Amino acid sequence: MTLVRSELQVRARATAGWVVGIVLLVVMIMAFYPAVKKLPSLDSIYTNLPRALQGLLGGADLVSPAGYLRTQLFAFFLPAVLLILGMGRAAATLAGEEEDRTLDLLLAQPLSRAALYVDKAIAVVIWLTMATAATLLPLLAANSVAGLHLPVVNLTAACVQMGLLCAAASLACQAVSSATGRRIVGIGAVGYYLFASYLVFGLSTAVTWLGPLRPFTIWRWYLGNDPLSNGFDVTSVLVLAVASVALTAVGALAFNRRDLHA
Amino acid sequence: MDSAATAVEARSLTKSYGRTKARGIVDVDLTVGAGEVLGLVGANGAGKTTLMRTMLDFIRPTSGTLRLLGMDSVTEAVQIRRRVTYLPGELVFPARLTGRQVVARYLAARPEVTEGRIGDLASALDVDLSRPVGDLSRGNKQKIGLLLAFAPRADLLVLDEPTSGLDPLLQREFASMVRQVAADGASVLLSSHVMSEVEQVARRVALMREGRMFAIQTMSEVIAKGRRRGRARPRDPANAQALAGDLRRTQGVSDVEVSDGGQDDGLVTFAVTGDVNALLATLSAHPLASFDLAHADLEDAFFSAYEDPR
Repeated sequence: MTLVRSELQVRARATAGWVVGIVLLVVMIMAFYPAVKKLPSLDSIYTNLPRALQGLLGGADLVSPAGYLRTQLFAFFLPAVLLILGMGRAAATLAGEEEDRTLDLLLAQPLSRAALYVDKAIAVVIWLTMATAATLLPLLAANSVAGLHLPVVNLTAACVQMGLLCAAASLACQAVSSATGRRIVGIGAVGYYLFASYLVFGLSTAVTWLGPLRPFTIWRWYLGNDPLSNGFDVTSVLVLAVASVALTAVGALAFNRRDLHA
Repeated sequence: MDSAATAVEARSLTKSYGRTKARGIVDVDLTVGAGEVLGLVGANGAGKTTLMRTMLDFIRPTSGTLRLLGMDSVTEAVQIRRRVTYLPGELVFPARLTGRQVVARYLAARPEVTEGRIGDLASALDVDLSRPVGDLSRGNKQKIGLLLAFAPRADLLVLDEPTSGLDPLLQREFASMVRQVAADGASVLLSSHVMSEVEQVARRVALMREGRMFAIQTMSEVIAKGRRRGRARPRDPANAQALAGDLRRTQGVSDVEVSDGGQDDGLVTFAVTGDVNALLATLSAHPLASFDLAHADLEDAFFSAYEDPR
């Protein structure tokens, strides 16, 4: 835990900016809901779409509280924002320092590479926790005001599962980037996986032969149980949490084996 | 005390690098004793940084052994780094942090370093820790780097190009800091591509070239090999040619020239390499008005070593 505080300090100002931005985004989406609720005909926009497209957009339901939040926030937009934050930071944290030539001095201290790796991963998880809280708190605060009246546990489940999705993806990004010493490799590889698996997950509701691939898409373990309607899914939470820990262990081992670039 | 006896012990240390395995270091043997200050000199790309980064376990040896303070450089890297500090040749800090935050970040795993120690060094080096490091000059950043290397009272300091960017006053302060830690029993390994920078503080100099340890000599041996420029003015300018003739026949003396006319009329200039006793014998046979011998040109000694492998 030696370096966690300094890690947070280095990015403190930028993190504050992200948190404010996320809060504003959530508040803005919530502010539109009372108007949307009065227009049930909006539903027809989505219900008339092909099923495959509905899947990609997060469902056909635009007017119910859970459907509105899913399509407008949770299906794509919000995780995309958090993934940009988490993966960007996770790639920068070791590979970025290596590319910027600041890593040598950091590792000149009596710290094992594994300890440094874990400290960096903890910082990434803390940033994502802040971003998740910046999503959840305005949702809870405006839940009644905006007329959503969703169960608190469902909102919490959606946010926590989203946070875990972003943690697993970001820690995968840290592992790949630090194993190669290049930010772009992790961002590229994990970004490509996220995009491809998003398509598979979204289309699998309509395209039956994609069904067996669903467990291999990370999105299945985030939205598969529809947390806004059904609350927590223990299996999903466990899959994402175990994946995060395992990716960190593998990443630390790979990082420990390498020659670091000067 | 066995671990204190030898600060660095490299045996046939080889590190191959890059796609063609052309970069790196080859068969390096080096011993640095406790309390010794060793200068590592070589052109850019000679392998100095590779050797130093292997010591810190940033890169691992391809073959050979490397022990620091009696410990294996790979398997005991963390214990080694507890007692070793490092100054990178290319010093970069996160620009937005203040000096104080930088110090906290890069000494985070060294809780034994007190605020008082940091304050003392900051005032000795005259560096302002309250400003963002991005606003600091190269020299001031280098001072923070030196502070980080000297603050922990390490048993071995590995300093890559420590005096680059420092003004002459600070180079003197740096030299006195090195002498102080060496007097306290710490070993210092410092690299430079400029011989004059290590000359002030190093007792021995290791010359590296194309990844190999080319020669390890005491500073006095290097100085003895150095070429010095001299000037002698006979009391009677008419004797200048005679003096020049004798000098041309003297062992180790070259480039003898006589100025005639103007202010320098009768001044004999020359260069001497190595032992100066023959030169002194020649000079003593001529009544002189003045005589100077410049400090040895170590760059020259260094390059002559390159041309003339033993």
